[in-house]
Amino acid sequence: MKTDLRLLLVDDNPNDRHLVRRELGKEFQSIEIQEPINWEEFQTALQNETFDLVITDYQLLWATGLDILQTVRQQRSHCPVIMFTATGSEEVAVEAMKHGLDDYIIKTYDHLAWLRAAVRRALEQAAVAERTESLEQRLANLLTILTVGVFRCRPDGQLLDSNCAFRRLLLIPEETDIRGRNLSNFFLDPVEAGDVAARLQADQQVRNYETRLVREDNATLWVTLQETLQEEADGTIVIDGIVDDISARKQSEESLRQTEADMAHMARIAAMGELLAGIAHEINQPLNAIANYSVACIKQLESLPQPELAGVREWIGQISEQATRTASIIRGMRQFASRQETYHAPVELNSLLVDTSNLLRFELRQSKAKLQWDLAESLPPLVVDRIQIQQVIVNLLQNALESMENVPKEKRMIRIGTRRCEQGVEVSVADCGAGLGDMRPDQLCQPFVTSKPRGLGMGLPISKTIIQTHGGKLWGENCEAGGAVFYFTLPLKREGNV
Amino acid sequence: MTLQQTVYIVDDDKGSRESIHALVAPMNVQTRLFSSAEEFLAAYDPEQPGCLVTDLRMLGMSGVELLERLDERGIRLPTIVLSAYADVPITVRAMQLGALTLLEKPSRDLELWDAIRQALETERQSREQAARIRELHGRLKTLTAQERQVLEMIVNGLPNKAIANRLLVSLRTVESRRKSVFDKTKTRTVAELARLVAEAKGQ
Repeated sequence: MKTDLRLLLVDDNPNDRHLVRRELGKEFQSIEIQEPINWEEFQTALQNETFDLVITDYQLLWATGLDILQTVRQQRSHCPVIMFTATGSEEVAVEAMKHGLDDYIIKTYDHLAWLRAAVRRALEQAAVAERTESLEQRLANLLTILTVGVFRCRPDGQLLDSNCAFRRLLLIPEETDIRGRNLSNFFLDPVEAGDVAARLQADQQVRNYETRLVREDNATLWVTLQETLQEEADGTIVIDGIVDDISARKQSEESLRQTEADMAHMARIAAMGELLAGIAHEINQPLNAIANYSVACIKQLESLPQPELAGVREWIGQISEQATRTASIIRGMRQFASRQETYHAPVELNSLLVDTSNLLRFELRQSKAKLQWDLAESLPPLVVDRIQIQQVIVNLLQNALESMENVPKEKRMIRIGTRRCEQGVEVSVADCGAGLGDMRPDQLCQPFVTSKPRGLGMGLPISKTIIQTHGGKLWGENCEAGGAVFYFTLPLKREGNV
Repeated sequence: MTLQQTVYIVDDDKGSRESIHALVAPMNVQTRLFSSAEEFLAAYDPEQPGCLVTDLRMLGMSGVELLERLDERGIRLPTIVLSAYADVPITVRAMQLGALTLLEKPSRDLELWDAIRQALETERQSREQAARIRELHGRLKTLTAQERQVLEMIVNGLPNKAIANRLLVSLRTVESRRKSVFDKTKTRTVAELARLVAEAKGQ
């Protein structure tokens, strides 16, 4: 049978002890009572922890009830202690209650019945206190092991409490008092910082949002912040909050978004490519007819020597020339559009540059521009699509030549350089022409943006796409000494790593 | 008699076809336009001299297939292939099949003009060459077997006396045969005769 009550009964008077036993016997079916009659027995009982409740007289031969109370409290903080005495006074009662006495009952026959109720109530309170303490302990443990930061603050942001994770998150040293800090100071955006309570609307007790906080070391974190408005029992308003570090998620979201943007860009380029191929096909036939008719006119006019026809001859010559030019633009567009498949093979970049510049020897000779080479020795071979990289080089060289149209011929110069860089190999093409003007670097590689009166604005976007699909970067900037310089990088690819 | 040359134009695009016709007009040649290779093959008369300008990609038979058919029939018609987009394998195949050239469409400046002129010139020359060889063969055919023997020896540089010794005939006989060789081949000197023989052999 389960024991209902384990009692430590401290009273020197055997009659009184009997009285208590008899009285509690009416309330509890099974009682286990220890009755120490000196300090040693009391100590032993205390150490064995074999009781749930203490009833003590005030005046003992070997101690006072206050001594008993304090000693019990030191070792068993939740164990209820009831003083049952005839010798006490109001002062004793007040003193004892201050030291955590649970109840004080005057030892008279009239008050004897109260003892049962007092014991019952004290036991219940003790059980509640113990459960509360265990819950608090559990909560504290949870808060400690939680990876999310938990805090409590006042409506003005003044922090009241936090768990370890909160400190770890914001790098607040263990030794500093959290109550010296204000949550608002950790916000990156001062507007958002504001009054914490103000963020919580009257009709909205909980607010959950993403924001950026600044750590003690000034690094920025993305977090989700959940704030709950709590009214304490005494009517004060506090805010309980949870902070979760989502920087990693944000970063992957960002890189995903970037990838999606890149994919969309590629898709647009591809769609444009298909469109161009279609347009090219449709335009070529009438263009062909225009070119042929122009030549027919020129030939027909050759047999008519009238001097007034000289202008007509020239104009038709222009028609023919413009048709040819249109055709070459379309051909370029189509070549880009139709190059869906690529062929990657090891290429020696320096010799590719030299070979490619030979493709433009006619244009170079016409422009009288000098090439200056600044090639790094013993570059590793790169695994690239030779034709595509050639296309990029031709584009950059043509741009350089066109930008120097207004530069005196003897000063025209293009510097072509290669060097090893962190990403692999970097190629630079610098001219001494008009420079990029006020065009922003991010505008440079946008389709149909051009500074050239006759340009289509497709060269650099195509080049950039080619370099990007090779895993490199292409960018341009103004030279300090005038002119523009374009760079592109190509990554090193180890063999077998296709 | 010289036949007038014809430029055959095969292209499924009306604008292209007629513009080539206009281009060719000042060359004083005939033109015949076809909108497909099949139509052209049905109408083509190999006796008619000229050249062919054909598009590469057409509905139905392609330009390269057309070249294959002509090749099968042993027809060597100087051909210019036009293409808006040719790749390397198609270009190689067209050239193997005897195309004079392959031009991008639209072609630059006078490229097509020059190519057609060259094709016509090539055709004319080879036709004239063929006619001359036929004519030379005709002359040589009039020689008797004995006269041919003498001709071979003359061309090899043997004097009359040596020829008489080899053939075991009199010097007079050699001289008489020699005269009819020169008469029949319409030549006057040994050098002319040697050139004629070489030409007839197609050298």
